[in-house]
Amino acid sequence: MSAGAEFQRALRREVPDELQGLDEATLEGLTALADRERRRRDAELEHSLTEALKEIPFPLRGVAKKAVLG
Amino acid sequence: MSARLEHLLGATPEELAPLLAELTPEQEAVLTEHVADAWHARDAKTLTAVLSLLGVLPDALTAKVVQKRMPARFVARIAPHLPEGPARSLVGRLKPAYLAEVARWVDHPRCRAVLRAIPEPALAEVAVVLQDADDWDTLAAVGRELDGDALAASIGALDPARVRADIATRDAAHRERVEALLP
Repeated sequence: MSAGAEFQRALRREVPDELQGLDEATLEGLTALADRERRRRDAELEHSLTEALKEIPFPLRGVAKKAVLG
Repeated sequence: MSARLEHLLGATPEELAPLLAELTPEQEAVLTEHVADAWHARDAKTLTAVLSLLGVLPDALTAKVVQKRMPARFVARIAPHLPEGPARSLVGRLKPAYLAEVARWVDHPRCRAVLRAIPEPALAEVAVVLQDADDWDTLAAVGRELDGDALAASIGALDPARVRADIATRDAAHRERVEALLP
């Protein structure tokens, strides 16, 4: 996979024309940062949801869990 | 500009500088918007559960849950996805110190509506917290998104000499706008 495609995969968004000419090393570096930030965001979401549910008093917790599960 | 990209990618200036060295200012601006768009679209999907959760809680409990259990950096991600009414209610209930921490992490241009929803007295308190922390970058980024009255309220709470020293380092548009509000 090319560095441009890796960057696109990391952000799941088509790379704009203005950035098509970037060199491989730059795109690889940006991809690594985007992947790391994506993992951090996922962990932050999971942790925050778990912690938030702990703070909700019992009568409302069932409703809250249903809302989370959709 | 790269401060915004540092926040968006969770990167240090040292990590980002070599990657941006060959980019033109226009490319850097496109890259920043590209990353901001990507996270915004992704968060719109991945934050559905937490937004649903906050949506079923009474406002006072939402504020308690947020301040006690959610990192300010995470709340900064939620902020641009909150509907206007709940956003207004929430920011009106959060403590200034917590709001200041959220203000550090939001993607400011995308959170204009939320920043403008902060009541002026709270905004003045947030400004003082940021001044005490010497966080002039956040003060400037927030100030750029505020309307005239709100900006005046926050500038009015700050030390004019320190504000003058900071705006000397900023772009002309921001400098002139703030200078006009100083005594």
